[in-house]
Amino acid sequence: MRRPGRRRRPATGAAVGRVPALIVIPAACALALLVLPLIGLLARAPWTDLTERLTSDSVTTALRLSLTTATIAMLACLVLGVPLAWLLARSNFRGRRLVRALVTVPLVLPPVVGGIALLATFGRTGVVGEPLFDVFGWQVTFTTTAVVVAQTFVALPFLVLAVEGAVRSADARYDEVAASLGASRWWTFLRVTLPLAGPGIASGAVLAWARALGEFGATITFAGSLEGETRTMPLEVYKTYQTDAPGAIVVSLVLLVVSIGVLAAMRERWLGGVAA
Amino acid sequence: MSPALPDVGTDAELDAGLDADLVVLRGAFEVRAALRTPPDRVVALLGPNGAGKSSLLRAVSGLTPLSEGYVRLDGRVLDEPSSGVRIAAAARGIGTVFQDGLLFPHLSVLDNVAFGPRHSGRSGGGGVGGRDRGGRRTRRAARAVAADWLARTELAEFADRKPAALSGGQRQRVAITRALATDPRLLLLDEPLSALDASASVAVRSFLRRHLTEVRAPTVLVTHHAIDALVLADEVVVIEGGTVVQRGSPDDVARRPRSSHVAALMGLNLLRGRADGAVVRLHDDTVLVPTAPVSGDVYASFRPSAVTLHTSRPHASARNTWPGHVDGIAPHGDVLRLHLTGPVPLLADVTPAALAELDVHEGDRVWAAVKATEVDIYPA
Repeated sequence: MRRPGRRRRPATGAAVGRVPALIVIPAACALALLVLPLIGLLARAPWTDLTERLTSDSVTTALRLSLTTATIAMLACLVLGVPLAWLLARSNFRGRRLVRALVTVPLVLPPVVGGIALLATFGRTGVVGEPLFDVFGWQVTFTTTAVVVAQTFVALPFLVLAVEGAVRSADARYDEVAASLGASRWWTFLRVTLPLAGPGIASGAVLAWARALGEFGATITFAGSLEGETRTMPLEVYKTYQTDAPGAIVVSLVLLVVSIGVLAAMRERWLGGVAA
Repeated sequence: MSPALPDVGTDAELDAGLDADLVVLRGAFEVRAALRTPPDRVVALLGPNGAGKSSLLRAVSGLTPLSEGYVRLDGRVLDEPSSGVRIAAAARGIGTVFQDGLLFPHLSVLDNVAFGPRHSGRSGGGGVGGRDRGGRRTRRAARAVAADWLARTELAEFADRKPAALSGGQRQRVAITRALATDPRLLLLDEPLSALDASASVAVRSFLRRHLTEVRAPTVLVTHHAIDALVLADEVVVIEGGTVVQRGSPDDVARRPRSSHVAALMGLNLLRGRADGAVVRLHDDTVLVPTAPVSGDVYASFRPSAVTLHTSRPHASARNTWPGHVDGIAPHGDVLRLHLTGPVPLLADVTPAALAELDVHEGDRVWAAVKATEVDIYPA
């Protein structure tokens, strides 16, 4: 049945037999499940009045809020998470395993539960929120700060785990070399460990940023949905969908493009050969 | 916060250098040794892999805690568990060169060498001043010190390169320069040549020989190669199984080894026995006749070239003669070196012509004999 003049290249792995159908079929289904919804989104997009919808006030306001809060949350994750990751990777304190387990809890916790937990802690009558309000008159809930807190809460574990892995894989013998050259542990951290773990920190930051950008459940519970204050893009999608399904698709497309664009840009610049 | 310097008086001069007597635990393995190294001297720790040499070095440098004993440097106690003193590795003023160099991969050669001058709190290192309020050199001053060192060690041309762009030998020379540039009070070299190929290790060995004198610091060199110890050291300390089995000048250790490991490194036959005046009785009950009467436990060593081979027993008595089988034949310089197994394992060097004449092959039975005048006998 082979056509003349066209040789078939021998399949790689022929020596160990064909790839079993029981592997190929589920793999194809998995790919379809991941890609089909994106195609569906593009297929149903109202391309005709796209620009008009895109430039609507509510969309640009939500986009600006999302980019700002996700970026601040990512920076907060870096400032708080890198030291925690270093402690988990390099020091040997008691209860380290427990701390690592606690760090991963928000990963498996439904975000809406996280929102309720934040509310119970930082709300007007919360464990921390009440004294904060009584003493300083600060109220966190239903403010842009609450958005950042919620996003940081859900994104931090991603960063900590990624950076911990990166610090672990940065050879600890370089710490010994730095010590033998007279550097304090702090200088060693700044000048040796951080640069060596740089690619891992960058990928952790990208992960955290993406997670913060998509944050919905904890935000809507803890920060509410006030336009310009706490209504980030995912919340805008949800709100628009109640009344205007094509509009929700437009906002979703924006989120999709922004996420993919940033991931692609950072992958090239920072991750280079590391994750590629 | 700068570490207190000892008064430079008579006492300090007597105490100058490294004085350590310590016990380190590595799992269940115990390493116990005393080291005394005056300034300007190089001590080689020689021994097989796993003998505990690197554990000793790590303990001196402060990377591993002692379980007993003390480490003193220029009269100052750096580590002494019994009195609770333990100075951090970074504050000891000890420069270390590691086996595979471990240059910081993200820094240029210049910044690698500038790392010590920038971060170490010590003064000195010439007249290049420039310090910030924390007592650290400024980046510019540290780089000036580094550039000066790279010029001295003839590595200036590599200053802007990253370590990945250097050969193994070049990397190790930079690592040595980096340790020297901290102006250390003690220099530790942990198998600095082991990771290099043969030609690079020759180049780096002569580099070390030329530049170790640039800092007036005692140096401890860990190696399992006899040549490093012989070429670079003023004193050799042989360590096996966690204890010191021999110490002496390189010449002494090379000529009169006290362990089969060192004898093998030096290419000597080493036998052990008990002397009672006229004869030395070896453990296999063969007898060695010394040229002068000795008594007590002794070592007997002789060069493989002093051994003559015979296909039948050369004389009636069993003196200085051993039966054996040829276990292996390998070229060794101009001659062939035969490994003999038997009551005592021996090395014998013969010329190819002599071997052909004997018509001896691997597995054959031979007799090995050595003249009494060729055997060096010394107390165990």
